[in-house]
Amino acid sequence: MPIGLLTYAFGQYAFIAGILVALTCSTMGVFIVLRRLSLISDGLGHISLAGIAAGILLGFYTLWGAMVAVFAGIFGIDYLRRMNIAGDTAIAIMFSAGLALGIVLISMSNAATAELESYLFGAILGISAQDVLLALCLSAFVIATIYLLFKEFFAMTFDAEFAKVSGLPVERLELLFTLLTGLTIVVSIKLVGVLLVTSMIVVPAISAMLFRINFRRTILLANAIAVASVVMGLYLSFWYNLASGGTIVLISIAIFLLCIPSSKLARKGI
Amino acid sequence: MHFVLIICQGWVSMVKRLLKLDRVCLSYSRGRPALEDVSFDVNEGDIIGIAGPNGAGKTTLLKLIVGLLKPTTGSIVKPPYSKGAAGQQRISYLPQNLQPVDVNFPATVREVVGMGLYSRIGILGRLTEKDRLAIEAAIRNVNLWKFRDAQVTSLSGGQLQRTLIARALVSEPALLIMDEPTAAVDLAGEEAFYMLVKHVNEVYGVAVILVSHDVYSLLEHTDRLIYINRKVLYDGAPKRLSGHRLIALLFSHKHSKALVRKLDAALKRHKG
Repeated sequence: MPIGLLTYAFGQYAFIAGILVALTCSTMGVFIVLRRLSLISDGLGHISLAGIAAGILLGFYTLWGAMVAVFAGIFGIDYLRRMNIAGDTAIAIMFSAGLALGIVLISMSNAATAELESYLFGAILGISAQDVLLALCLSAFVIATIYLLFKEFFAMTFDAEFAKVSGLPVERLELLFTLLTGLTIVVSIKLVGVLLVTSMIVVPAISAMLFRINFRRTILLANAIAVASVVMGLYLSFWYNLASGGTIVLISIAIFLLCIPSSKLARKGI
Repeated sequence: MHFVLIICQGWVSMVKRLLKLDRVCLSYSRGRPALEDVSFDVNEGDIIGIAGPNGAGKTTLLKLIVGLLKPTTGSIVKPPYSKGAAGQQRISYLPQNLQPVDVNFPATVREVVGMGLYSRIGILGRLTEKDRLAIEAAIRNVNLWKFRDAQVTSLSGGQLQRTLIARALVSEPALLIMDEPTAAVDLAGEEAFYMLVKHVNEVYGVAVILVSHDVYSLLEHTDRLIYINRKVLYDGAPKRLSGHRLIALLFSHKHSKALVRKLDAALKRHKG
């Protein structure tokens, strides 16, 4: 009964937002994994909870709050690094600060536990038309930027020193890339939840990388894996009333496990 | 006398100068300066070896030349590019660490060599059909055609190095700078590497600067040796280096005696 989900408005929203999230996360994911930034994306996901909680408490659109919190997190981590605090420690400090602020703000509000849970674990029922519109705008911005600056991001990821010598503005590109990472996280929160954002970024990317194909095809394969995970995950969560985030991520992990033997066979040319 | 001087000046002006370092110093915020009063020229067609002990400032010097660092005092003059299209990269640089950041990095030889053209085509530019042909020619030049679509992480140290040399050469540089190029290759790879350097220098007229702590190889394979230990201690043809005293003076650090013995042997081979 694959049509069932799409007959409902919330199902259509979830479907559109899901595909946008899948494409954005997996495209960014290949760069994030290769640039060893998975921890930053996880940290920023947790930091976003402070903004979401502020939105719930003060009654404004939660994803604006998440976006402000994520950008504050990016600049906070950068500031701590400039004070010669190691990168992972800087992330840990901002991560804890964001999460703690989120918990305190939520305890101050009378929000229902279900609402909080939907942000932590993702819920397709919670996706509104406004969320879809925001996902559309942010995803289009992230993917268009990656498309336009593809060769610059590729060179910077492969060899930052060479990119610098070639005259690329590496520092500015790095800042832009971190901002794109922040936007990717904001886009994904409603669907997969704060706690599982990183999995959507990392798992399809690493699954595609197992096949050892060229860079462009790796991104396209990661896109395909992510879209397949989201579509299957959404249907399963709809039919069995499961949390969408967890279901999507479990499907993507199952695909990853299938990719291990099949990539070995593909490399041997079987 | 004047006549001889004019002829000499005329001859000098025929050799195109690619780079001039004039009394370059670099100090970090704390401690001794990393480089003091370094001056030398690089001319078209040169093969220069820069040697020195660990911590002598070799990599710092290269980073200054390619513009990754700025000198505290002194100047580095790079004349505008005069060979080929305007805006083309004059200096290509092969950094010390050849390994890509991730062991699973999904980039093929073709994609990595193509990076060498990025500075020429500029931000938002795209590779054209002509660029693709240039990339393929560069891959053929370093004998990697068979591996053109292989992932760089599946290559041996020597093959990866040749890929990065192709990336450096695809932009048709006037000067190719390599930092510790033979650190990750075996002895056979090292011989092949120096043959490739000679080929690139003779056929394409590319000047080459090789930086290495392995002074013996540089003595054998370069036309000019610059020995530094924060300052330039020697700048000249390797064959002019002779006698224990001079060598001991040049390489005056804790391993000098053993080094002198090894150097003597290398010099004899070089002259033979």
